[in-house]
Amino acid sequence: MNNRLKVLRAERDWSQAHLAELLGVSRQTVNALETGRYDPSLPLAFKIARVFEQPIESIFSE
Amino acid sequence: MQPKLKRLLAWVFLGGLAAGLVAGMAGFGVGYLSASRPEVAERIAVFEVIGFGLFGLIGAVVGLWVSIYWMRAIDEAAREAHKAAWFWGGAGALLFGLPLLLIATLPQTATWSLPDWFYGRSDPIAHAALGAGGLLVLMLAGYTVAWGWWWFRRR
Repeated sequence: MNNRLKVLRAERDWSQAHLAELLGVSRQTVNALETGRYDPSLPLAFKIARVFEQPIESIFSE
Repeated sequence: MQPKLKRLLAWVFLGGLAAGLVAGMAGFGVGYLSASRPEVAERIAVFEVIGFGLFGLIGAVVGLWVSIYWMRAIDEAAREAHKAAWFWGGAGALLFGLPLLLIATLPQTATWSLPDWFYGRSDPIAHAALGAGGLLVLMLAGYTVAWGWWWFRRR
């Protein structure tokens, strides 16, 4: 699964640590998500969508 | 690391120290009794076994409680890493015990002797403990490797 997490985070000039804090996960997890090597659970995907104020489908794609 | 996990680690460390202190004092007491009043030491020998058993049981319960707290506190990716480490590392490492188990069924191995790594003892209980310890080491090693590999692949 692909995602636009890195782009969205860069647009907001957030660090991985800041995004991790907003999502309630570790920085390592944010890194794993950004590199596409870890697919989030549905609750975390919804949380990511809430944080970036975008629909899930605009952040994640197959 | 989350502050509550740091606090938990600090408590585990202090708890370990306290448990070590209690065990050390108990060991000193029993040792002193054995040297000064062997007849009393002999009478309480059975309570030593019960005490050690209870000590281990309490340790297991505390360990389980800490694990539950830890697993609930970490995020989902970290939890996934532990699950993968348990399945691939822990259970996978068990398979490496299989050749030993198969060899042990052969009559040729009946005369083999095990090393006396368990406090220099070579009685059946020591051999059982050696087997359990060996399995534990094997599983922990597999767990650690698989856990490290999981995070390495997602760095």
